[in-house]
Amino acid sequence: MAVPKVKASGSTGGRRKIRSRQVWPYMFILPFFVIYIAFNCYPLIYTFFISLNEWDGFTEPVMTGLSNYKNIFTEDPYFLKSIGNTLLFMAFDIPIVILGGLLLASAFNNRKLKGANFFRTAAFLPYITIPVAIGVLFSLLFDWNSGTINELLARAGLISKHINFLGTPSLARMIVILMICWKYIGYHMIFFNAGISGISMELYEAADVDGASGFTKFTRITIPLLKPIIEYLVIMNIIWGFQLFDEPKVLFSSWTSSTGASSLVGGPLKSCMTAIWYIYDTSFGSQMRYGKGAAAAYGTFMFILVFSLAAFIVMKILGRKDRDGR
Amino acid sequence: MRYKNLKKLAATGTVITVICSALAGCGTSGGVSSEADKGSSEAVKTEAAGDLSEPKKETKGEGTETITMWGWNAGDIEKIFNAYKEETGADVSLDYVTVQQEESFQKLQTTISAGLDLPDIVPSEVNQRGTMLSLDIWEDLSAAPYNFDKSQIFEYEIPLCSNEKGELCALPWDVSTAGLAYKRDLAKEYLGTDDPDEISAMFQTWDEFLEKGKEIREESGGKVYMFASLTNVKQIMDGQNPQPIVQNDTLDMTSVKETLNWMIKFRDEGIVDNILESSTAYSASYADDLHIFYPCAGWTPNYVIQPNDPEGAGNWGLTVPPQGCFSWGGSAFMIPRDAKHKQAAYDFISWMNTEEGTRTQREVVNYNTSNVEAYKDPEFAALYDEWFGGQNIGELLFNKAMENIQVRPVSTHDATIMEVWSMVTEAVNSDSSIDFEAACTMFENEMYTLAPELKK
Repeated sequence: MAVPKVKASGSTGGRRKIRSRQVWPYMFILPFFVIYIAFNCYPLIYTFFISLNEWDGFTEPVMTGLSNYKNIFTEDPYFLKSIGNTLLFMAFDIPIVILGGLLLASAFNNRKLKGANFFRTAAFLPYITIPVAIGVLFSLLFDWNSGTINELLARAGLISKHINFLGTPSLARMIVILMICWKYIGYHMIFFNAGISGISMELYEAADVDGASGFTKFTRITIPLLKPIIEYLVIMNIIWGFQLFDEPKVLFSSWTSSTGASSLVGGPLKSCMTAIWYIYDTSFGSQMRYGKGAAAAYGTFMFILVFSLAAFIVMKILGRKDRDGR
Repeated sequence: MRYKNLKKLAATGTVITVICSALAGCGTSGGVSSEADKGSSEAVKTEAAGDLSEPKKETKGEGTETITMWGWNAGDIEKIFNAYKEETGADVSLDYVTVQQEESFQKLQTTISAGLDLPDIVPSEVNQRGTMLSLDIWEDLSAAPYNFDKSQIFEYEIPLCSNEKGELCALPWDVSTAGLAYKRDLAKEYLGTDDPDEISAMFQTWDEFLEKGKEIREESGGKVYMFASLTNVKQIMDGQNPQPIVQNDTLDMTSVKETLNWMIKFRDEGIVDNILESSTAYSASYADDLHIFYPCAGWTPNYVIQPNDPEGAGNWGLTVPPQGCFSWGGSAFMIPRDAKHKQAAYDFISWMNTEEGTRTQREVVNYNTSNVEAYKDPEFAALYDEWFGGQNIGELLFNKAMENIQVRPVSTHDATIMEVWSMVTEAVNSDSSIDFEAACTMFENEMYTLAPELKK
């Protein structure tokens, strides 16, 4: 926005006008910055300070330097395991939700499909379901003794003994991946749906004239034009992936317990413990170690930063190659 | 000109208002505050605790002093508090803040670290109590000015309500003694009797219990189990063992090994089903005809058996488990040293443990609280429950159990121990290749990982 020029040789009133015109924009953005500093910057700095201390939240913090970082990276096996679990979930979730969302959006935009709006709504519904309900639903579906899936498999004669889906580390991980995909595919579909709606029909008509097949149109028109959305979703999925917490937590919680049975922290043998769950459990669970939890938060932050940057750089390089190839 | 000045004034006012309203939530409460201020303070507390649900705040009565209390059973406390006021004429009101049982410790932690006001009464469930009591923030209720008379309550409750210095910092609420509940129809069919004394005589040791379990397993074609969940076995056997698991920051595996040994024997012999205690399948098992025994404390008939076995009235019995009764669950109340209405809070929670309070609570909410004198009256100590037919379950819970019950004192590491138990029990339950040695090693390693301060 152009700033109106004021004569330099103006009167005192003119200088005051300059000052007031320069000050007011700052005054109006001040509330945002005050809130940002108070609720973003200050906690960030304070968290770093806490990470250098041994503190249970009740007694005075004791400065211990980098010992919390040393502990999580070299002594406590569960921090790196939680990062590993998170990466594993992301490695499966991200391609499935992006590809699944893209395919669903393409299918629902097919003019031959009737009731597309209904299908879109149905696909989006899991996203607006509360995590607790999803956790209870999946724990009922995959229960070892009375789960619907086990019953169905047994009745179909596919298994002779019920499968302990939620008690076997590898299967429990699979259920968490399934939960996430089921919940987020519809959400990704909405993004792609908006993108596809913006693609000119003329491009498809021209391709039809050239005799392009449906697959060719999808790979040569739809995907390239949705690239900015794909890039955005990949970056965001990496960030969201590292923040994964609710879904595995509720799956192994004791919501359905009538006897006050305790939750299974991290799932069977901590196979579903994610980075955020680790931070939560370390800080607010049985351990009450704010310092170690803060160090784990910074450790996780470093992983998020590295992976987001790596994804960003890879996409830039691929984009450049595409342009050069063209 | 005047118009421009007005504009400036309005703009300045807007900016100041926005900044003030944004920062309004940053302040901590202090001094005398209005009701509205208290409301916002509540909101801050709840948010700090990570509780996503709206706080349910209820103020009862119009007394001159308001006791603030956290808890997870507003309805019952409301009735008890009204009865308390009626009987004692206390000029107090209650500000009750609903806190989820599982989150009460986190709420305490975040409230303290955020520098917010603590309530006058903090509840604790036994699994978290040791960790909570290890904090040097509680009033010693057996010392002046309170001088609570310990002989008022059952003796076994004292180690469950004292910190490691031996100070009584909590007052118990309910009697937590527990026995072994069983389904009468299954007992008749497989044990040949449903008489609690005969069943108790039949199982003097866990070895006898195991042998019978193997017979029943064979007789029923592998369909009927002694217990539904391995957690039940852990609950009872660990509850019977008073040996501390951590003492002077040193891990003592003696009691853990004893419990694990039985758990693995029971699992390997197939006398325990593999249902997880936190699952719906476990709740449903109360109504089936496949599982005979369940641990049962004073609160279990009301809160667990009746809702899960609605058709089971009269089909339940209660007996003494092999090697005696044990303690399971139970709530207690603590008063923070910095609470604002300590005496009023103490008056209320100590009244709950008087003979009068105990009788009243039985009458208004069907709770069995801990005053010893009340249970000396055979009529009061008799407890009949529709689900247990004509059996006097009070005779077992309030008399027999008290004869030889032994409890492990609560300790700082209780929350960690519980987390490790959950993990190991689940692993042993799911994976039959985990033997006794492997289970013990897993328990030890987990303890050292989660509590690195333990000496090796």
